[in-house]
Amino acid sequence: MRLRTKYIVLLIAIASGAQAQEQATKYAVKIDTTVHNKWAPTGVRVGLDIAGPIYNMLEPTISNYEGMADIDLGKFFAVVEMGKGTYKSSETPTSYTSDGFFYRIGADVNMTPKDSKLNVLFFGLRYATSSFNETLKGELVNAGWGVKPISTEQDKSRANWVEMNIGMRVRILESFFMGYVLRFKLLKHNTYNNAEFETYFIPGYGVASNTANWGISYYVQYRIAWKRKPIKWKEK
Amino acid sequence: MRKIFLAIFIVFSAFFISCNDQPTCIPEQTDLIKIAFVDIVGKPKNITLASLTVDNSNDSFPVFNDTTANNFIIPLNPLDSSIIIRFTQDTVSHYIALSYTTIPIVLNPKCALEMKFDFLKMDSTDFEEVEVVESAISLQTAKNIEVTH
Repeated sequence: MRLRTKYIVLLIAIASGAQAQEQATKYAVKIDTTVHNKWAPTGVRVGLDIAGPIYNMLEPTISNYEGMADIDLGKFFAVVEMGKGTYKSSETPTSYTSDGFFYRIGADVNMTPKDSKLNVLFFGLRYATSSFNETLKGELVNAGWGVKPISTEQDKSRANWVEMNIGMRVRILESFFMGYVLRFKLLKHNTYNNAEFETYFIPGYGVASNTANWGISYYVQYRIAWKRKPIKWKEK
Repeated sequence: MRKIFLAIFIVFSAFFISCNDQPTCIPEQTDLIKIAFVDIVGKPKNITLASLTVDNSNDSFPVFNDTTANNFIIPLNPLDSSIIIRFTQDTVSHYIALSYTTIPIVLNPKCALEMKFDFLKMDSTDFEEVEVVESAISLQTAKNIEVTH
């Protein structure tokens, strides 16, 4: 009888041990509100975009290099993205360059907050701003009035806009993630330091005459975690 | 999950590459303004012109000869920021001096430059009554200037 009781206790212990093991991984642990602060950040993720350099190989006129960093705050992420964009066309009849830096700040909402590997499917909002210099060389040709060569530049032009983003980040290997961000850019506003001509290309935004633009970033990311993330465990 | 991720990446890459289309180079700006003649009660009034010319500091551009109409479409000079329009009837001649702003626009570097015109303003005239009814210059504008004659 005592032996049977011992076995039962042992089985319960093993079972509960297995249960406890299932509710924690290398990266996450089941939240216990008496112990964990769900808003406390558990790691910083930094990443580089590879879509820009790939696109640059297909379309040498446009180059875009950018990086990002995010930090988790519960099911949200505070995000900063920074980059450099260039448009350089020496086409005939118009030669145009635009070169500058841009950054975006915003937040993502994690739509898969119970994922124990911390894979993320997200919706995000960004406020973006760009500062850039432009040059323009070309000819204005009018059948009646003739031809006027134009060679001018404008410095310190600025633009800002808002982005609605969706995307995902998937753990590929240990601390490495990969994922894309699909961006819908809208509410663009331009300001000029000296308006010599209308901006054609805004680094980070794209063709300025479009009231809205699409964009995509594809990030390779590394997450530096200082503790396991407490999450609501997905019951199987 | 990784297969879905890869599939989405391929789809978006294809979409991304396909967006790199060729420009059509269709002009989006106009260099034309519309001048309408009305009588004292505001009704359209035909006038007969022996000639209508557009002048700037260096050049003269004949637009119409021996024409009867109640409105005229006039080309602005994209190489300058002012013009003088001369209306010559049989024995009399009138003018309207206009100024405006110009700013070059790159429709696409593969296309020729365009000029955007705006802020049309009347500097002087010898007509009795001339009004700039619309200072914006666009393809949609019905009438920029009204001359009561």
